[in-house]
Amino acid sequence: MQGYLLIEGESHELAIVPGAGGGYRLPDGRSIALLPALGDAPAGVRVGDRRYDAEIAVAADSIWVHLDGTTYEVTWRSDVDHHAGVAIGTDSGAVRAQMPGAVVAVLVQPGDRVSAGDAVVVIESMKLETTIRAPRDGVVAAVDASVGQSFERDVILFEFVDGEP
Amino acid sequence: MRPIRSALKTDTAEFRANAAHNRGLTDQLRERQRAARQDRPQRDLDRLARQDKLFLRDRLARLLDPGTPFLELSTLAANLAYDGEVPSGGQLTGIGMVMGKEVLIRADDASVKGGAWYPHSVKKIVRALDIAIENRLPVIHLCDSAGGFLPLQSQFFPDRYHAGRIFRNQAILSKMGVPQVAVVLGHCTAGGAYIPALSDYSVIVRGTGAIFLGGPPLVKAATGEVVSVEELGGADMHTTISGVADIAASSERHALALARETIGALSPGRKTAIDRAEPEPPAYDPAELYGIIPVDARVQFDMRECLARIVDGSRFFEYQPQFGPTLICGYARIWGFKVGILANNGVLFSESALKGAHFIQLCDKDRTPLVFLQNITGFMVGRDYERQGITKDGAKMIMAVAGASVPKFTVNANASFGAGTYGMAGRAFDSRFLFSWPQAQVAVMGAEQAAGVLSDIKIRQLEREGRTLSDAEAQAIRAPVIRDYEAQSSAWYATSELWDDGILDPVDTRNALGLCISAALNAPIPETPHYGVFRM
Amino acid sequence: MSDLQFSRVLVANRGEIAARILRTLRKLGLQSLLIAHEIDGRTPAHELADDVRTISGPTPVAAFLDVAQVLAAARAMGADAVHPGYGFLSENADFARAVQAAGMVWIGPAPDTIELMGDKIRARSFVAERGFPVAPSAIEDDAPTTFAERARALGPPLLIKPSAGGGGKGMRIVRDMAVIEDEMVRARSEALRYFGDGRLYAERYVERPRHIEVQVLGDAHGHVVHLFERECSLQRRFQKVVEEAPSPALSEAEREHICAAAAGIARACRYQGAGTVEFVYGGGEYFFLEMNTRLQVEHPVTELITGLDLVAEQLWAAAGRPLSFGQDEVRRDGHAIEVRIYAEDAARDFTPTTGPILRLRPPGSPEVRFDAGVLEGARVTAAFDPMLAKLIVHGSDRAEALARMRSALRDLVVLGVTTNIDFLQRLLADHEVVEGRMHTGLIAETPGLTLPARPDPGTLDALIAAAVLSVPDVRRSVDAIPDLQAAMGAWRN
Repeated sequence: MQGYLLIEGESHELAIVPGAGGGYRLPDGRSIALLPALGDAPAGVRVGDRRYDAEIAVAADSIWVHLDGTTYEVTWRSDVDHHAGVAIGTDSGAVRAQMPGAVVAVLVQPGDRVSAGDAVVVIESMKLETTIRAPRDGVVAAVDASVGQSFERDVILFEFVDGEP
Repeated sequence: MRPIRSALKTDTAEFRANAAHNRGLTDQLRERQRAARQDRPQRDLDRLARQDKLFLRDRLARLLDPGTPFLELSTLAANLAYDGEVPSGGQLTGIGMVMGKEVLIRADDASVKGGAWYPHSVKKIVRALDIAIENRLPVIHLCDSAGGFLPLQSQFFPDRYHAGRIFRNQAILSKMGVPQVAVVLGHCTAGGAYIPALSDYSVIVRGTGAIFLGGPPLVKAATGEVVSVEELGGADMHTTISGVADIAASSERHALALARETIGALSPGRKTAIDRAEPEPPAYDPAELYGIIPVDARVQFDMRECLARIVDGSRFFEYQPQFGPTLICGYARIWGFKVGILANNGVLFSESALKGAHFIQLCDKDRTPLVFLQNITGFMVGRDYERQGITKDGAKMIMAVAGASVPKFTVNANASFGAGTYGMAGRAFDSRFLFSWPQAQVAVMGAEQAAGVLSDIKIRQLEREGRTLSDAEAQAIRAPVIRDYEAQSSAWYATSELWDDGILDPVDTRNALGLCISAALNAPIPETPHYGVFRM
Repeated sequence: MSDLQFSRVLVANRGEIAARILRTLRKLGLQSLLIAHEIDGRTPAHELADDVRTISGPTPVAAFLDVAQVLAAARAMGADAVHPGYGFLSENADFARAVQAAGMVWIGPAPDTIELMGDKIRARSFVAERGFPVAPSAIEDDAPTTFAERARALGPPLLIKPSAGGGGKGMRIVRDMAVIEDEMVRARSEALRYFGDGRLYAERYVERPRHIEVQVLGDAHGHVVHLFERECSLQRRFQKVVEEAPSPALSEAEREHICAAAAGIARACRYQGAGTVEFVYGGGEYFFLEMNTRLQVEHPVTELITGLDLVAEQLWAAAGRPLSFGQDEVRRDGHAIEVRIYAEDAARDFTPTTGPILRLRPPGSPEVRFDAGVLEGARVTAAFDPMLAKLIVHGSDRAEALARMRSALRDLVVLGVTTNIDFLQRLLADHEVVEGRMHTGLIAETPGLTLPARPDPGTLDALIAAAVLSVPDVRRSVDAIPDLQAAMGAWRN
């Protein structure tokens, strides 16, 4: 198989088949092709007999499509990544930012013992001040954020180890 | 090349009768293959579901590139053995596309007796790996087997081409640089453990996959040690501590995706180039083949009519059309590949045998693969023919067939009897692939002939005693011989015993040969052909 | 236009407003100077400025708040006037004074006015004393010990706000008096954090309020006119999302009242330059909310219905010129709507998004005004607020303006970072919005707006095709299949 596309929260398994003499088809046989902008005709995509005007831009595994007045972000995941499952992303003690922002305050140091719910880091993002708390009891292993630092979503803010030191 | 001009009349009663009969046989073939592939006791399917395992056909679907063909081999292996309880021999073998590469897939079918290896299973696996060796095809093993079926071990363990040959073949493949990827989807116990161990790459599913020389019960019995399946041979242990397997997968789907990824990461092999043009479908409808093949195996038909419905554009460059007319020789294309065709139109005479031997050498020099369409009952017998040297002329044809360095492909299109089988590249002569049509027969001689010979022996014996054979007595000798012969010379029997690589619907012949030729070109064709001595 | 007393104006801002201000500077033939932070890369403002100087700081925002650095840049570039835009230092009286002390013209009202109106409590008292309507309130400063009690006495619903604040930060609505103390604590901590001043005040909250604000313009000679009102009721967490002029809520009589009140307030504080008086409107009443002593984000809708260039008016007022027209000559025509294009994910509670702007294609219609703060190829980061651009349209009436805006939103292409464009389309199609029945809680109360519609099968096919053909891995795996097998397709024996 050729991976999966995530579209508006739903996974779609891909099974593109070769068209005879080059080209590509959907599993039901309809041929598909990208249509570059030509003169006055805008860029688009063709599926079987139908033509859709579409603007497409790609960055890594994100395919952005502006189609019929609406914008979609389609994410491609390889077969392997899709099926790898829960194994990915379960860092036991890393706490990640839920949204991009900047660090406003760091309330702990490495070595501090924290209980579930203790405030560890305060971040600010577009007039939203959020306190990031320890998800479970543990000891702070490292704080990866410093006051004033900007960060993107999913960046690790701090790490801790479970239980007693 | 000029197209064959068909002289076939498709509106005759004979044509219609043939077509009805042969379509019936094909329907039978399809139904028996479907049953062999799909019909399973519900309790076996339930057990798979409980174990979180996919049905073999679903595993195959996830492995193959979408929109590509799959040539399954020996679907009806063991169909007449073990009371039909081991469909397909509990194995799936075939050639398909994975990440744009031709690979040979060999899979245990855990829904058939837990994937246990019967004698026919082992023969099928060995044959698959022989094909991989001869054609340099990468192999994907889907391992999920309960192990050898012990009650029959004497039939699959000790001999040269028994189970040991599987592992020997694996080692040879690796030595040749032909990669193997093993996907451990179930238990690989005892001998089975060597399949992943001898594969260049292996993936193992956490929870269901396990590799060990002895399972927990055997270990306990042997040394008293108590240990779980996971600890003894599970995915994490083997991929982190022992190194017996390479990558752990969290599920079957993950494992199959990893197998695809592995194949994708391998360097492509070199394909041998031969003369190839744009493919062209036959000018005549292949479905007409049903009407050409006679209902009665003893009725002769013109093989050219079959060729016209198999080869590209029905085009055929015939070699020595007037000389030795009972063997048709010439060049044609199948899916664009130029091939040399040898096809029977009657018994073999000296002239036809000589023509055949000569043509094989021409194809060898021309680096043109050979396709044999068998409909041969034997060589001509008789005093004049022996004096002319038909035996040495047949020997020359056999010498050429055996020595040919281009790939050979054989289709038993109706009959394959006696020494004719040899001259026409029968099983013993290392065709890369050999298929049968549903109505085809293979035996040392025809049933009637055999019955006649055996009756003759009896008659002479009685004559020496001064007695004669009554009609009833003659019948009593002939009838069982004919019955047994017919059973054992049928395509169903041949395919059951793996004397062929599968039965083909005649209409599928062109596609099957196209895929086989393409697969065969993964191996090089030696530069210089050479043969033994031709008795001149 | 060199008869102005300045000719080199520094725009101490960024994004769309910097570009917009620079456009007018160029139009008037003034030298256009800009400060910029490295993290913004190349922006539309860069393309309009005659000179740019880089600023830096512990955070990018801090750089724009660094009075000393901004002044140093102004001096280094030979600026003789500073336009602060909105946000940042635009309502910082100390900065205004420092600019003037440095011998440069401050494009804005007098520092004292900024200070007066910047202190929400003082501003409120000032306005109330002069007879303009204010919401009943409790001011902490009056008697800190009784503040909680007096606030409680206002009764629910009430609003707790930082007295030094603005722009929605630190505001909390309290409907259940049981939690009033908790909310005060939180409001105070935020106020301290954002404004350095923890003082609060509480005032009656109008349910389902509409946010009506009036644009005012004053000169150095005591003349003040209003330029009609704007309605900014479509808000989310006190942030404006859609603004329009005029308000569909007001009758002509109400309009006259509110606008006159605004002009009166501006006159009372001898307001110079462009400013906005904000009101809360509901149940036939209106109360003074605050006065913003700067140009507002949504000023373009006023420009489109009046035909005026507000930045030009600011420059002329700062140069000491009298207003060139009286209140009678201020006419409005038609209806204008503005939407703010944010890099945010409506489906995830509007959390800001980041990423590269792979494609930016403004709407093709010449009737649409697109004030962009970013160029195609720029990277949106978390450094600043996520507003990328503003889209403004005009129509002969509200229905036509709405139709044009919907069309413009469909036409606008921003790819590479999630934006609120689709959300805005749904918002402007909402029945209540179309009928003009808006209030500041509408977006929060209409949860369906944040959820994208499921694509229909045809669209899904097109998306799959577009994605598959754009992902090299998929194409390569299909290209790898040789002709023979491709031609045979999924054949089985």
